[in-house]
Amino acid sequence: MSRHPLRWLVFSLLTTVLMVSGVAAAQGTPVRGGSLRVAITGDPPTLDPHTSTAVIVLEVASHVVEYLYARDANGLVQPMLAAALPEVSEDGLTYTIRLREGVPFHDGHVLNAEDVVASLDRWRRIGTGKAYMAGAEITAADDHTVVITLPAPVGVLTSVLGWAEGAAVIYTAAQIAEVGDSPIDAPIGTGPYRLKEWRKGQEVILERFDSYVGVDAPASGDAGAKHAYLDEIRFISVPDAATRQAGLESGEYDVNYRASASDLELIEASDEMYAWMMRPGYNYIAVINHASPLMQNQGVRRALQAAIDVYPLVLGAFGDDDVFALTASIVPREYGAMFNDTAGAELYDVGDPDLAAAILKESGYDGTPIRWLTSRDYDYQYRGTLIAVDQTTAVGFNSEIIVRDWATTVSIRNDPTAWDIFIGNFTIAPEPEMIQYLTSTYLNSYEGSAEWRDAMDRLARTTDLAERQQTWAEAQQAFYEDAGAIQMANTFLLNAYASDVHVEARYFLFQAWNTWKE
Amino acid sequence: MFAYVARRLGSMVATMLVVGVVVFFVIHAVPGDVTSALLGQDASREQIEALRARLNLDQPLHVQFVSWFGGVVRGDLGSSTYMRVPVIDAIGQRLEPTGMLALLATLVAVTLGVTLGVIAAVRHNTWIDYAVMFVAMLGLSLPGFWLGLLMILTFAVKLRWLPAAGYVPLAESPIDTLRYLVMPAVSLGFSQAAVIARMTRASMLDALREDFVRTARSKGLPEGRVVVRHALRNALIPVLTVIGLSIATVAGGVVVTETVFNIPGAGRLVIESVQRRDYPVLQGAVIAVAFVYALVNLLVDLSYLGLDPRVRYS
Repeated sequence: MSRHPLRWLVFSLLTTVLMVSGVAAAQGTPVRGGSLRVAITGDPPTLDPHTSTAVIVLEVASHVVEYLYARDANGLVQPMLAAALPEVSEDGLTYTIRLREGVPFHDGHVLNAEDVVASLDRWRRIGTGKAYMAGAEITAADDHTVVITLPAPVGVLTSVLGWAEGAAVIYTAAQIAEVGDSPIDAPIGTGPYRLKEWRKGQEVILERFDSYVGVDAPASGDAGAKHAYLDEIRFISVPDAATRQAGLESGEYDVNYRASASDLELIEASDEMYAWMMRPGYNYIAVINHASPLMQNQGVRRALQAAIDVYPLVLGAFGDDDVFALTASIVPREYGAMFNDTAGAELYDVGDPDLAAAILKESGYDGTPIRWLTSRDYDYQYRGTLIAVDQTTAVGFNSEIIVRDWATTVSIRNDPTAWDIFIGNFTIAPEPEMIQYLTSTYLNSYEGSAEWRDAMDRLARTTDLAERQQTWAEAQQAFYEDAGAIQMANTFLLNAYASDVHVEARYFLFQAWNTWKE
Repeated sequence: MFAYVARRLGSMVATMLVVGVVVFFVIHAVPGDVTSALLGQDASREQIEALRARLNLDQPLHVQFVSWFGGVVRGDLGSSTYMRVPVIDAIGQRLEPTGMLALLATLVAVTLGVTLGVIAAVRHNTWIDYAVMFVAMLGLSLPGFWLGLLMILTFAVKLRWLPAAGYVPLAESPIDTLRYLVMPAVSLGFSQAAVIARMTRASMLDALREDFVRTARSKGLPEGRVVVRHALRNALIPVLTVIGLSIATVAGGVVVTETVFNIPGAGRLVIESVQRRDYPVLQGAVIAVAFVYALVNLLVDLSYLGLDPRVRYS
């Protein structure tokens, strides 16, 4: 007997396309042809999502490579290279995945189970898959069936296999044999576009793959049909935000990927371009380094939590309240079922200096400086940190700001002894188990309280929706009570399009399929 | 003279090696490495450590240095850890845009600077002199990137006469190459034109007071010929030194200009390599820039020979 692991997702709270906001721009009849010039923030480090979790890697590579499952606009997992959602054994240990037949790769090879076995094995060996599939056995039952046998249940496995960041993309077994664990710069995938040329440091040029065989379902989010209307997509590396915007205004580019929030008004006032807000974008939080002896004092963490007045801090950091939403929920509303803005909410956005001072006094805090790590390379980090330092100094904290360039900041963050707290945008996921800063292997070394660990252990083993929601509510409550991190807001990212570019279906990541130009 | 040139070239090689050693240790003294740029924000500590080991970044510094420097003395600058291409190719691919930009910017600077300087000197203490010196002061005061943004706003966004950003290689379309480089070259060359104009004016004023100029005039030579053939030629030696320094400044200025105008040149490569901690590219690029500086200095010294017969190198 088998059961559907993600059936609960159909009870998703979402009834509308919440991942999408802004103007619906797909009017008229799609036109085939043309080249889309997308000004991106920099040259991607690789086109291989197995080896990098950088969002830009996936946003370029997802046109070329695909994964077994994908999320639709309602946050539900749908088949992509798989023929259906997996069959899962009663004990939750065996996943049987049937693949679609007749799906060609860009080199003419047709997808089979060996390709999937080789790809998943590589993904769990060198990529984010290790956290979910360590010790798992991945085998080909026949040409088009893959069986994954886990040592212990992983409630979110299907979700992870359809997740975008650090994605479990499928390459040919031959390419993996050839490249091994090195980053793949010329991926051979099954996507609607194939790599034409990568002029490193300048641009990535993709061309339509005419033999693409997609899913026979309406386009929705990351899932469904992918119509390759455009002949060519050029991802041009333009690191300077003002230059990207000027290039969009002058007609040099068709898309300004990551427009500045300060340009939002200008874009909305223009007839020649329009804005699309990517939501949910990131979680803006103060991540606490739990390896630091000072921050292991729960009273100190609770005092910080009570001191932070969220709205002025986030407004000061981002400058425009159209680009963020305050929420106590760690999983954003747009991702569906695990959204919860009540558990622990009494400890969110407290902003009470007297209470914070009292908690701090009780904690035995001896005036040791709290090291706030930040970088001016990202203004929102720096400005938010300045305000947080101001708010916490007012209640009696002794703060020290460490300001470095971004590469140095990252290096310091990786040293558990060198910092105490860091404010920034962190990627979020639909399932709590997939959120990096909630895991102990991430840079903040968060182990959590006994209540937290117990709830997360139970969560990892269950796929029942009601049970998952209840368990996550307990975990989120424990997270707040433990002051695991200081939750602040969801922040959105902005892409700006020339008005002659039409997009039929949108996801929270940039996609240029189902996109056409007049 | 050939012995002199050979000696200078020999000392250039030694300079490059010293620069290489210094840059290696300075760069490695800065915290951070390429793993954050490669792996992205969500990588676990284990993934970071595995990548550091694969790239040999976990080796002691002296081991990394011996490995890199051993390559350098054999003419191998190594491979980019971010782009995974040989450093020599990474820099080589960026030389054309940077070279063209530097050339055009220098052309703008020299043409504008010398012409305005001569006019100001000849029309000394008139409104023309004051106007030229005002423009020169403006050129010195305006930051190049600001001028660049202003030009983009005016000529690309509002008037749409010129492309806002990017570069087209010469081999594809020389006319487009020029169209893409007009604004960057002017924004980069303008401040140097101001420096050259001021130096030319001062040097010309001195020359115009010399006896040989008075003699030329008393011989009845036309004023244009007096100014160009007699005064300017003699005034050019200090100007040439400034032009040499300007070329070096322009070579440094391309970093900002290439970023503002999104020109995929060597300057932007340097900036990006600093941000990514792509050590091999950064080390190779610094050596390449030092080489250009040394070469320009040598060429300027040699050009004195053509201008002043009294100069001898032995």
